[in-house]
Amino acid sequence: MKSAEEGAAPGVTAPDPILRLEGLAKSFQGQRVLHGLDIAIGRGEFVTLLGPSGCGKTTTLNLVAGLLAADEGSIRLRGAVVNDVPPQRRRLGMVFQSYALFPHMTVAENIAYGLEVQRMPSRDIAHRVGAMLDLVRLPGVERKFPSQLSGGMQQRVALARALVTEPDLLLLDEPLSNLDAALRREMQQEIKRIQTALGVATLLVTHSQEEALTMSDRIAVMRGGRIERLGTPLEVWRDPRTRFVCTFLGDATVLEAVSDGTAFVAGPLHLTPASSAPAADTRRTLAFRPEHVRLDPPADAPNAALGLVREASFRGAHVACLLDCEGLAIQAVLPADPGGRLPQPGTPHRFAIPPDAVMLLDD
Amino acid sequence: MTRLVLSALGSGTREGGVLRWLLPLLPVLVLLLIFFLLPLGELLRMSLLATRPMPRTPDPDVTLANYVAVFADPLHAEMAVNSLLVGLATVIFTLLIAYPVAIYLTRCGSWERTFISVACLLPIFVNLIVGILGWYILLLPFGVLQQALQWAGLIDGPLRLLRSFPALVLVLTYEHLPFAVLILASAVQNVPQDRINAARLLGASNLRIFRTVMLPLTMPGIVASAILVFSLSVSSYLIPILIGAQRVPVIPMAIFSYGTEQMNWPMGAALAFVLLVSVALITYGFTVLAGRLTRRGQWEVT
Ligand SMILES: Nc1ncnc2c1ncn2[C@@H]1O[C@H](COP(=O)(O)OP(=O)(O)OP(=O)(O)O)[C@@H](O)[C@H]1O
Ligand SMILES: [Mg+2]
Repeated sequence: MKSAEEGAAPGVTAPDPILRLEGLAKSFQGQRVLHGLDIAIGRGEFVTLLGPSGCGKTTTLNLVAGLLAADEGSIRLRGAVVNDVPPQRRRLGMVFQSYALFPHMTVAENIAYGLEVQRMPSRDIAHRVGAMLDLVRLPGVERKFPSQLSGGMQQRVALARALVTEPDLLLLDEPLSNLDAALRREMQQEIKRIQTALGVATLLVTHSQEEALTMSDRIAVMRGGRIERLGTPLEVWRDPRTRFVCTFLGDATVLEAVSDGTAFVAGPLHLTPASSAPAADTRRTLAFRPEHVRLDPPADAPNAALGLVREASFRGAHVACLLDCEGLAIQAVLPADPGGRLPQPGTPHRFAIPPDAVMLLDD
Repeated sequence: MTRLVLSALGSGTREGGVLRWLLPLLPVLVLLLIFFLLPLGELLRMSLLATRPMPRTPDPDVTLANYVAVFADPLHAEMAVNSLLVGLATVIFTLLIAYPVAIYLTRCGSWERTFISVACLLPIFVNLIVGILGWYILLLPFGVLQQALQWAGLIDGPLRLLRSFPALVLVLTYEHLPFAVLILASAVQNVPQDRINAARLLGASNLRIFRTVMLPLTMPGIVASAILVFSLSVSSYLIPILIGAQRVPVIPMAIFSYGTEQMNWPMGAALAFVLLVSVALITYGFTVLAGRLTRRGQWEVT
């Protein structure tokens, strides 16, 4: 992982960040949309803003780009406050959700646009445009118009146009949401490959947790104009800290439990988390992910209980199962049995949740 | 309502699906046939008849004599040059004023938008003659404007503002500005903000964005409003006769004169037909030129 070579994960205290937002706030028509956002992005780092619709991701990106003016707080690019610098002089690359290609220009003219603005000699431009098209793996389409290309190809052109001026920060606003599922997965890898090859710091906006988890060095999960959790994909996944982050990132069974001094008790379930021994009578919210639930564990497995299989559905690579544990609904995802056997609805099964898998939530 | 007018006048018409469009268009086509094509055919027929002082029994022989006469008369040449210059100048001034207004219209708040839209539509509702007389009174040698200028000590004695080429272009521009604003506003509105933002982030100045993005993408609206304003200006009769009069003679005055004062309908018809064909040719040439400059045929998907 990239952050490892930079020592500790570059948080808000990253040395020499390319972008630093401090107390960033924005209102539309008196309505607060962003409430004091703090985040810093290191050089070459890939950070994702992840959150549900309307949480302020695009607003944040537009503030960084200079397309909107901040009400409060500061935006620093390369160490300098740029709140009053127009987008023209922020030297950023940006890819829009709609690609925003110029329909009346050929692919080559689209990519060359930023270089023409810099008045680069035309021979150098042709060279750079060719190199860029090679990088995004689109050779031979120089003279086509965007309307003659597929969505994925337009996406690559938009990426090439944004990167040809060699910006040190790339902004991506839901770049993959207009592509079908297979193409989306391919472009995730392509963007990641190009980003790594150029070492350009990237701020991605998405509401797809899969995209965020696979592409990012760090994820900032946003909710209602605030960053609720910031960390590497693994940290955020394993320790989401709040119920919102936990359920936004993936499926989970969430339980209210009371500690009896050695374990958390929720109905018939006695759950011991791996981390700390809970003090008696503390109320906590616990969660665990369906794929961590073991069915028919060894007899000495900790955190075990007896449940009734309510539903079991075959999903190809795995089996999704709903267990009823004296009124508690437990979701479980089991690896598919090679013999094709499914847990039969109505049959009792023992299940267990490994202590590592128990997540303690604040909310 | 503004929106309705905007989209109705907008440049969004595309070819394709001819049959699907033909059926709902049928009533319009019938109207067009009865009230436009038939009179036009009649006009053409009349222009080919020999000139007679008293056309009781028109000569059935077909002749091009009227057209020869139209092109032979030096007065017609002067009028044609005037008409062309008046039309071009009106188009240029209308576009120069209407385009910024259209851009402002798409950027401003809803209150200003309503205000400008109403201001644009009002002159259309005002009776044409009332509007022209307003300008007449304003520009008269001892009219409101000159008195005010004199009172302010800016001019010394009356000026001839009326009966001049600039006055004619001014009133024609005023009269046709609303159409251009409405068409251009819809064209400007149809340029996605993302594309402008993309150009800005690539470092383009506002001038460059205007030249390389706005202008090519709003070209259909520019062409549409230019064609409309040009043909309305060139064929306008009331405004030239009241504002420019004999100082700026234009073709419609001659047509009117042949048709009424001289009772020479065949000559009037021939002149009208020459005007019609010229306007059509200029319009077509302008469309082709604009399309070629922006390479529209190559990239536009229908
Ligand atoms: N120009 C605007 N005027 C008024 N309100 C706005 C404007 N832009 C955004 N908002 C509001 O601000 C909030 C955040 O919008 P934003 O576009 O940043 O959300 P988002 O996280 O990008 O959502 P999505 O995933 O749907 O794109 C929304 O509630 C939206 O209605
Ligand atoms: Mg958004």
